Amino acid sequence: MTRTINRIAAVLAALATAAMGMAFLLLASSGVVPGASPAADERKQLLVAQAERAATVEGVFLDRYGDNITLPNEPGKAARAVHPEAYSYLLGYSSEIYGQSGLRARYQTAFGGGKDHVGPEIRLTIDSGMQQFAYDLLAGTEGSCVILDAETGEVLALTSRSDAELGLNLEQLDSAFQDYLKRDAFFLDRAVRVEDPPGSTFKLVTAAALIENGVSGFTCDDCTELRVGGTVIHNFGGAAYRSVDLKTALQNSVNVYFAKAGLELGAEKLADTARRFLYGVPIETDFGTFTSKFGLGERTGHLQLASTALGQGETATCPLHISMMMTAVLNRGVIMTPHVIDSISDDGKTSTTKPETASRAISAATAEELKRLLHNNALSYGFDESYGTVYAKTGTADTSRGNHVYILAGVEDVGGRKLAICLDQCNTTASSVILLPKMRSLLQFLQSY
Amino acid sequence: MDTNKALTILPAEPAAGGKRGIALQAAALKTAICKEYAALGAELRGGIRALNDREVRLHLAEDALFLLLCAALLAFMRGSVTELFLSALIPSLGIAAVLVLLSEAVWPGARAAAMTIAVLILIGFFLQSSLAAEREAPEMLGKFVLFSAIGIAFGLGLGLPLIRVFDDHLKPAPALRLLQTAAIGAYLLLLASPSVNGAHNWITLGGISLQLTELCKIEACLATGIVVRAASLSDRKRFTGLALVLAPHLLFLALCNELSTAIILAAVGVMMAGVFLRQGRRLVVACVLCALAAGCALLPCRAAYCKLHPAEEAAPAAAEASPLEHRLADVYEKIHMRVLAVTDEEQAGDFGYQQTQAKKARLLAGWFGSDSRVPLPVAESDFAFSYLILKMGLLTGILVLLLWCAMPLAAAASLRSARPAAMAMLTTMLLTNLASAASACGFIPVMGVGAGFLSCGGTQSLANFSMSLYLLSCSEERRIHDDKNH
Repeated sequence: MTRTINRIAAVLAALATAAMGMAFLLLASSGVVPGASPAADERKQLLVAQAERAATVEGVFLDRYGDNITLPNEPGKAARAVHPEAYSYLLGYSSEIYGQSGLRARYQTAFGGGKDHVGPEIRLTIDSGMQQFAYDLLAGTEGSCVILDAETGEVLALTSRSDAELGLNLEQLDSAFQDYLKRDAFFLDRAVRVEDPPGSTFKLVTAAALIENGVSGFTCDDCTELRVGGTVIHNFGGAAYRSVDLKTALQNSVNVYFAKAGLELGAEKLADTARRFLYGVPIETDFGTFTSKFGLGERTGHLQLASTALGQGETATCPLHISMMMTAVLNRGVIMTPHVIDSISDDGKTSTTKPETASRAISAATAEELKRLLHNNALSYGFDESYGTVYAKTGTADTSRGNHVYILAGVEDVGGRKLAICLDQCNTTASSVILLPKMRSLLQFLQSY
Repeated sequence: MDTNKALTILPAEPAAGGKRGIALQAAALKTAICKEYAALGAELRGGIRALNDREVRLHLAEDALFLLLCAALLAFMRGSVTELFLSALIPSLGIAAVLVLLSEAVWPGARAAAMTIAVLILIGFFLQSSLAAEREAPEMLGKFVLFSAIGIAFGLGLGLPLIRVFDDHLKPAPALRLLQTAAIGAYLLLLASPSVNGAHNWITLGGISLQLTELCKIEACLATGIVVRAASLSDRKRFTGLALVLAPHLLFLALCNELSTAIILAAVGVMMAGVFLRQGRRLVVACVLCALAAGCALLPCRAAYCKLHPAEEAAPAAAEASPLEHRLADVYEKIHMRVLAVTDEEQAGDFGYQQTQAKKARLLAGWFGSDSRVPLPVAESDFAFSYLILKMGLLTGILVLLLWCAMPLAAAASLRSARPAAMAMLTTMLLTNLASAASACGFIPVMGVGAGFLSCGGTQSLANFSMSLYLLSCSEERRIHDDKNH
């Protein structure tokens, strides 16, 4: 009997020891004792941050007039989007499962919940009316629309569509995410993240280089074709031109003229002007950093130089940067840094964004000359005075996925502002002509807005 | 009437087969039940009379004050005494008070064990009320209250008497036959029932879902107790008898995919043999053989799994597999995925979701709990310990572990002698609770184990309270009122 009792005691003691061991393991692996388990400590920090986010009401976004772009929701849940598609790429999604993107990833996470567990109130420079109109304009296409205030750098519209048949709807993210994943490059913000040649819109830079370097009088007697390094450069549609000057070349987008002009200028001068237009220079904005590729150097070959001058070669950029080129024309040669945040209010404190100069690309005189040339272009496209004073240049770039077409426009005195606009469409077989009706529609809207 | 039998030699009874044998057994069972209810009635009447004693009332007041202080401390730890906590306070104190009253008035030697169970009940109620408030579903707390009340009523009115009938009154052989027949019948019912996530654990009777494996644990403890008490048999025969009693349980539990319960009962069997039998070496050999058998049993499971899930280059052969192969493959997959859920969360994928959430809860808990909302699946039952840690902190979790250990220690200390069935129940309860805590913390690859007095489960409440009341009633001290003498 005594042996039995002793054995019982031994069993119970063993089980009690097992329980104590489990308690010890619990303490060691739960991160309550710092340093006991580095892996647990690290994971705990991550979870605490996630838990903090889950307990926080996501702050709201407002447009430039104080109207809600998002509406507050329960703690831990994404704020409801008032315009679930028009702002989708700029605003970004916020999902427990798929994470965050866009401005939400950039700002709501950084600010956290504060003392009141409510995220910051962020006022954008975006005009909701322009944003929605621009988004509707892109229906049935893949492309983007950027509208900048040339004098302040404020982004008035920045919208994108990455699929002709399906739009990114922020309110349907969880249910439609798997469908979105099946679409190629669906989450690519085509306004800022695409890297394609600028096409003939780059001729604005080449023209600026010609003017700045006193070669604006350059003419091309025979602009039918140009043979460079075993490659033949043609004009669009194989058109032949004779005795072409800068005005005619820009109006008709004569590839041979600009190729010859680039060779005339030389790589160094063209590259210098391009750099002042921020090609190859990181553009740091409050919604991301963008760097357009630019391939001109000291040892650039003639073919590369000629191709670059007409907007092909190794140059790759995004529609936002293309619109920034027009701001130099409108703003007396000064490019302002684009910004989309107007002010951020959190825990009773408000910080406001001040306009910053990104670059003095060209002189005021050059800007005036370019205005004259581009206004001539606009008139040839049919943008008469009923659309305001318009400056324009179209562009069609060859890419591996088809054409990427652009129309770059500047318009003065829209509600006292000077607006630079870039409207583009990618993965198409058509030329930039297809964008003319859309730009007319946009200009009419802006005049009546 | 002294029903507190020691480890005694039970004489072998002459075999009585056929219809006469069944009739004799039925008569014996009826007599035993009547005797036991009479004994229980005498104890309860003795307890009522004991309330006239000032000292008993003083002890009850001390216990009540202690429970109130515990309740206040729990409410303080939760940060506030909300309406829902108040609604949890009354039923939890009520049910804890019943246990305390029984221990003071009827079975005074079991005071320590009763108090540990009472504090666990308080913690369980506060835990469930916190969960109900978080999910805005007050009916969850109502369900827990109902299950606990039914558990106490069932335990006192049916569970305890039946356990004592089989442990004290019936002769070993017929008792064993009845128990094993009932167990096999229950397992066959379970196997015929629809499976839930691969496990056959529930049957539905008249809209009520019963988890028969919980009740089969009680039967297994009683049966093993009967076998080891039969000292007239040699150790070798008792050892063999123990194995034969447990083997059907382990087999059926494995077929029902209740592997955690099977492992617990196997451990209880090993403990019973080690404590009550003299052949230690035989025990070691048996353990090694069992482990080898379990390993070998996995081989056909793995083969079936590989057949149903061939490599990509091989042609799929799932359509040719028999139902048995499907079942074996399910067993292997379940074990494999659960081990992965503990060792490699990424490979476990969706299957490891519950373990991942439990680990998150553990990391966010801190010493005193957190307001973080970690979506814990089945937080009211299988992951109750994980939820407890999250809401009340690691200190409370460790306290609960201590209480789970303290209860059997206190119960064992109050036993005048070593009662095998009681010992088996103590070990079963403690192992189940530890397995529940370990699985909720992601330490072991098992799931679906409820935590004693914390989890919300109807059949689990019936079993827990029945076993707890039986353990309290094994106290060496009893107040028995004999009507004939008063």
